[in-house]
Order: sequence, then C-alpha cells, then structure tokens
Amino acid sequence: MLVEAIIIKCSLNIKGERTNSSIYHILQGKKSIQTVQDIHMYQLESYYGIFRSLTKGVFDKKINGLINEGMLQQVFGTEAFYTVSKTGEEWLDQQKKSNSMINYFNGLNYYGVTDVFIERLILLIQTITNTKMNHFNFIPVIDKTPAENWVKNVYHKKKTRETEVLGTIFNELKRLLHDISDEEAEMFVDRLTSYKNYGMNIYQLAAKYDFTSEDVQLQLTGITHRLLDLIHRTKSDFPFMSYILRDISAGGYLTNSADKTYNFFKSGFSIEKIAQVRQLKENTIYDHIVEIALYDLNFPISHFVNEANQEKIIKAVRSTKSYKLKDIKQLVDEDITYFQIRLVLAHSKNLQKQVIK
Amino acid sequence: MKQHQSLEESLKTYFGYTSFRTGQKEIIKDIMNGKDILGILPTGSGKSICYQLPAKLLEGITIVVSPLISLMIDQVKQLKAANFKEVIALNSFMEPVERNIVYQNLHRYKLIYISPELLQKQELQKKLVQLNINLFVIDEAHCISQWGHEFRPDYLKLNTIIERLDNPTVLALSATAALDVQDDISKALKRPTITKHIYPMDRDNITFCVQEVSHDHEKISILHQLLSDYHVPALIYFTSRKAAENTAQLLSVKNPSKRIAFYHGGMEQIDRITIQQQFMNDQLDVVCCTSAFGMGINKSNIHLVIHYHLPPQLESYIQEVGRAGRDGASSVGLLLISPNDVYLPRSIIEKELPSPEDIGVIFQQLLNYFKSGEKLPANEASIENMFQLNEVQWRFLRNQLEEHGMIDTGKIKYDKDIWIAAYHSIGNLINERKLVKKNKLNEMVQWVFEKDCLRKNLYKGFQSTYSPAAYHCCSNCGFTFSEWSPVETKQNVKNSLSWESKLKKLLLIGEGYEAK
Ligand SMILES: [Zn+2]
Repeated sequence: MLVEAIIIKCSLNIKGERTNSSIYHILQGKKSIQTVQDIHMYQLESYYGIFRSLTKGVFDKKINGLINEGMLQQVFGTEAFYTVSKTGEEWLDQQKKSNSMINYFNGLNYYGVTDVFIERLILLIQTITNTKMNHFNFIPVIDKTPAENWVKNVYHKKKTRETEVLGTIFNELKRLLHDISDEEAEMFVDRLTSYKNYGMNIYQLAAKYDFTSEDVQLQLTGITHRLLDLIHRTKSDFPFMSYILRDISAGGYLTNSADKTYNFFKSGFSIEKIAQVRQLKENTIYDHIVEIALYDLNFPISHFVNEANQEKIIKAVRSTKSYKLKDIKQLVDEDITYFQIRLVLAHSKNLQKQVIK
Repeated sequence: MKQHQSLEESLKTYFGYTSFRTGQKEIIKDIMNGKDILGILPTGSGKSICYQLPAKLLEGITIVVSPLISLMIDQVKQLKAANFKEVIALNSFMEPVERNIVYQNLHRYKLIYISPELLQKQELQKKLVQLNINLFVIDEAHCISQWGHEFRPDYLKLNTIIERLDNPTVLALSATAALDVQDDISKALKRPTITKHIYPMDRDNITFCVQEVSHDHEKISILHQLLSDYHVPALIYFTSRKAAENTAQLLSVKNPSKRIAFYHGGMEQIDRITIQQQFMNDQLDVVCCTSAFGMGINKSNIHLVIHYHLPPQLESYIQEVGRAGRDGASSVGLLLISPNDVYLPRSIIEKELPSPEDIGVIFQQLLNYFKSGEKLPANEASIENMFQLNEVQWRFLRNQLEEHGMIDTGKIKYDKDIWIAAYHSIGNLINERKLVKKNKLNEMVQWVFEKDCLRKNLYKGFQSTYSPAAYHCCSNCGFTFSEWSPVETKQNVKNSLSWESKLKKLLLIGEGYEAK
C-alpha cells in the first residue's frame, strides 16, 4: 500500500489545486518546469522521480482504487481534481505509523543518482564475486552500458584485490543496513546477485514479502535513498560507497536541450547568442535557464535578476496565497518580467516552506 | 579459414566445449566448404553452434535472421559472456542514435543478428551490400513456409536479399519442419539441391502422458500432487501470462518447500534473465511459463514438462516437451486437458490476424488518410492504436499493404483497381492462414485423444521411424505415475539465514572461498 499512501500524501499537499496527472508526473519524475515547480510549491520534493518506471495505466488503476475506497473525492464540478477525504487522511496516519518507509524518500536530491548508484553496486558485486572465483563467463544482471563501463574500469583497478574490496563492501553495507529495519535489509540483500547466486527479481520479492510488485520497486528506491542519506551524512565512514558515488553528476536530470544551453551559458554566451547559435527561439532558451535554476542550487540567478528585485519578488510571493505568476506580477514593479519571477520561484527551493511557516 | 586448428580445437578455444553434439560437426564442415545447408536439428541440440563457430572461423561476416528478438538478445549476452565480443543484435527497438552509430561500424562485427522486418529496410540493405558477408543463416527456417506453423511473410523475401548480398553460403535451420515444409524451404530459397542434414527429433527417454480432467481445479491438485511426490526440476507451460503468474503463486502456497517462479514475455528483460539463470543454477525448482521460456536455455536435468493448456500445434509441443531429459535420464511430458481447453487456442487463432471486416474498415480509413494528403504516423504503436490492431496483426497487414504497393515508407498510394484486388487477396490470405492454423490445432487435438501409442503418432508427420522408449512409452501403452522413479535432485533446505549471514555468504567472506 506504499504507492497508495504516497498518492494520498501528495493529494493532501496539493489540496485539489492540480489534476491527478500532476501527481503522476511527480512520481515519474517528469522533466518539466511545471512539475518541478509543483514539487516546490506543494513540498513534494521527496517524492520527485521516485518511481521512474510507473506507467499511466498502473497509476490510474491506483487512483480509481482510492476513489472506490472513498479516500479520494472529486472536487465539485471538476473532472480530474481530487482532495483527500477524512477516511483517506486517517488511513494515511495509520500507514505512517506502521511504515517508516514513507519518510525515507529524498527524491529530488537523489534524482539521477539513485539508479546509477544501485546499478553500479549490483553489477560490481556480481563481477567481483565471479572473478574472485575465476568465473568469467556470467550473464550480467544489469545491461546498461554506463554501469558496465564504470564497473569495467573499477575492475581493472582492483582486480588483484577482490577479497579486500568485498570485505570493504561487506563492512560498509553491514553498517548501513543495520540502520534500517531487518525486513528492509533482508529485501535489499535478497536482490543482490553474486557468484552462482542470482538475486530475486521484483516479482519474487513481491511474493516473498507479500507486497505488490509496484510497492517492491518503491521500497527498493526508498531503501536506497535512506542508504544514500546515511552515506552523505558521514562520508568518511563509507569510503567505498562514496567512491561509487564520486563521479555521478547531478547534471543527469537536465533535458538534453537544456544541458546544451547550460554548456553554452557556462562558456559565457548570452541568451541572444545561444538562441542564434542553436537556432532556437529566445523564449526556449529562457525556459532552459529556468529549468537549470530548478535543479542547480549554485546557479547564479543574480545574473538575470538583481538582489533587490529578487527581494521584491519573494515579498510578493509571500503576500499572495495563490502562488500564481499573474498575481505575483501585479504586486511587483512593472519592469520585472515573468521570466525573472519564474527564475526566482525556481531557484528558491525553500520559499514555500518559509511562506507557510 | 584458419586451417592450423582442427574443428574440435577451435570449438574448445572459442566456446569451451570438448566435443560436438550430434550433427554439429557435419554441418559445420559443409559450411566451411561453402555448401548451402538445410539443417533440421531437434531443440536443445545446440543449433546455434552450427553458425557461431563458422562465424568465428570464416573471413567476413555472418548474418543470422531470426524472428525471436528476445532470443537474439539472450544469445548476444551469452556470446559476450563467453568472450565472443564481435557480435550484435539489430532490431527495430534500437534508438535511432544508437542504430546510426552501429550502422557506421557494422564492418567491425563477425556475427550480426537481424530481425526479418529490419532486414527489409533499404537503409540497412545498402549498408550490408558493402560488407563482406560469407554466411547467411536463416534461423527458424520453417517460417518461410505457408504450411509451417509460424509463417512469416518477410521470410519469403529473403531470397532476394541473399542475391543482393552476392549469394553467400546459406544455412537454413529449424527444429521442427515437416516434410512438405522442408520442400518449401528449398523452393523459396531457390536452392533445389540444398544439402540436407536431417536429424530425428524423437526422444526415447521421454514418457508421454495425457491426462483428461473435468476442470481447472483438478489440474491444480494434480500439479500439487506431482510436485509433492517428485523432486525434479520442472517446467509448466501455459498459454496465458496471467495463468502462469496465478498458478505459480497458488503452487507456492500449496508446495511451500518448492521454489517456484513465473516467466513470460511481458516481463522486463532483466527479470526474465534472473529467472532463467536461477533455474540453470538450481536456485529454482519449478518455472511456470509461457512458450517464451526455454529458447536458448540449456539445462540438462529438467525431468518433468507439464502442459497446463493445449499447445496450438504439434510442432510447439515437440519443442517444449523436448526440453526435458537432455541428460538422457527418464523424464515425463504430461499434458492436461479439460473439455473446454480447445476453445482457448481457437479464439487465439481467430484473433491472431485481422478479420475481413477489420480490413474493410481499415481500407476506408486509409482512403480518408490518402484524401487528406497525410502520411501515416511514423510511430507504429499509434498506427496500431488508430486501426485497433495488435502488434502482430499490424505487422501482417503492413507487410501486405506494402506488397500490394498501397503504402510505401508511410506514404499511401491510391489506385482503385489495385485496392480492390488487394482487398480480396488479403482476405483470401487471412482465410488460408486461419485454415492452416485450424488444421494444425486439429492435429494436436487428434493426438491428445489418440487411443493408439502417443509416441508413434507424435512423430509420424515429421519422420518415418522412431526409436522405442528407453524407459516407459506413454499413457496409452500403460504408463502411470506410480511406476515412475526419476533421478531426483536434492531437496533444498529452506534458507533461514539472517540478512547479515546471507550478505556475508554472497560477498564470499570467510572460509571456503578460494582466494586468487
Ligand atoms: Zn506408447
């Protein structure tokens, strides 16, 4: 029921102000400005992109289930806007008590890191345990070229020291897994593949732990987020895990086009020049800049909006409850553009929290 | 050709096997001498070595046409694992960017697997004619025959491509091709004198057993009983994915000491590989699967193959049951049949191809499209959606429309007379295909209700003789399970280690793991 609980949690924050497909886009991690603004606006950063493989069909089924259970109710006079009923709210409270997992997620922070980390770890364990036993003829369980290349590279560096590497992995994983529940730790271990020992697939885990296969996928993501939190907290305690994470760039979550724009921007091109070179509309480049600001905390937005105007925009945001661009625009000087407002909104990740408190 | 090594030595060097299996060496020798070959080798006899080894030894490139994309991908993985790196599978699921890079570098490969659809593309053909292709392999060659159980219209065009490629050596392979199908293959390839290597497909160590039941729940209790009585690796075949999933779950509850999983084509590649490998590693006892399972799997101690549903034709049954007892030990093929079972394959036959009414509606839609001057959507899935056809139905129809010149790279061409002729010809073809399939199903049903020896009647359409049973013959010759005592595997002890001990074990920490 984890997927359901998270849908209810999202609906609760959104309060019927967005259609339910916006929740789908959040969980699925859609790279759109609308979605990223939604997660900031409704404080759903933790759930961003936590279920990349979620299909619309499965999502709709879950929504229908929740409607039939009376946990979601349609906003009067609309088609796809839902609020959480009293039953739904109570049910979520129960779930939160019985399932600590709901608090494990840290989606936005680990967007683009989660999958790469786990794929590297799984493939590395499979590779090193096999080569240690002089078994070079195994079918890799991860068939993604970037992970394969990374593992190959590491393997060449460490190939004479398999025992030592495995010992380190064991010590670090043991310490990490002791920080989560035994069942979660067991599930994580069940999934690993080593020499002559293929790990369980999601359906097997679902059967063993009596979850739906969707919940298994979310659980695994949640566990990984939790482990990443622990690693980041005390990097020096987990040198090998930090080594796996070292070169995973956060840039992975920009759309390709925005990424190109970013490269031009970093080499000192102006918006006009980038638009010209890339043969795109200037507005498109502005959209890219907003997208970059959404993800990159260090993006120098003062390049486009001076500090004084940033202040003004933030003040305006605080005095509007609706959070609508139009309303904000009316409260600031006329020479402040929509682009500048969006940029400030995109960049001020904690804005909403400050507004509410 | 590298002459300094014998074929046996090369086999050892490149694939690690110490000896050839039946038929392999004869076929490979002929290929190396440039003879065109039709090879009929039973399932599990290592057909693929017949071209994988020549691909390594011959100069130039070997092309393998195979309709089974997941099988191609599996084989590529296995070859790469065995250190045969110059291999690739081309299929229409590749990203355009990736495909471009691969197309630029085709000359770097020794072995290229291609799906028949993709091989029809001019873009690829143009690349291929520039390469030095020395061996052209047609896997599942029975697909070339209209009378075969898996007719693929694309296969009829292979001959033209072989000519364009300057007539490399041809190897046509199949596990099951009845005599008329064999003739069709040599005709369609325009190779009347093709050298035939036909090996008998009958298996003397498999006991055939048909059991009539009145209802599905009776099937479940039989399965439960068999899994309780015998501890042998087993496959249970289903026609529907859902049934495979549900039965796996049900049996896991009823037989908690058995490790049971399911496998079907609707699962992600990685989840499927996991199950295959676990089964090979003896981490699983029973796999509930659809016909997608087993191709390319090489497990010798499967001693029980059960069919929960009626297979659509004898060819499929022979292949699937043939996965039992590769080690020569006594094995049983059990087919369960209830009175309603024949309706499922019948309705599949009806739905497999578009109906004449569908064709009429689609022609009208095409005409509207033509009048509006638009091209068809580039995305196949959206076309399927528009015409309300499934993937197989649309692939069939697109092929026909192209054949009749009604569409060409997405553009619709209108000529009233041609369209009318095409409408009738496609309608006829559909009826013909349905008839072939229905006849195949009837043969299957007839066999199931056969009163005479099942062994004798299973193989009679494929070969003139068969060996007598090595253990028990069949249920019609008096076999009952009470007399079966197979070689059993060790009963597994349920692993109740803590996660920490499991982790330790799988990271090979502690005594007993050889250090380097
Ligand atoms: Zn008999």
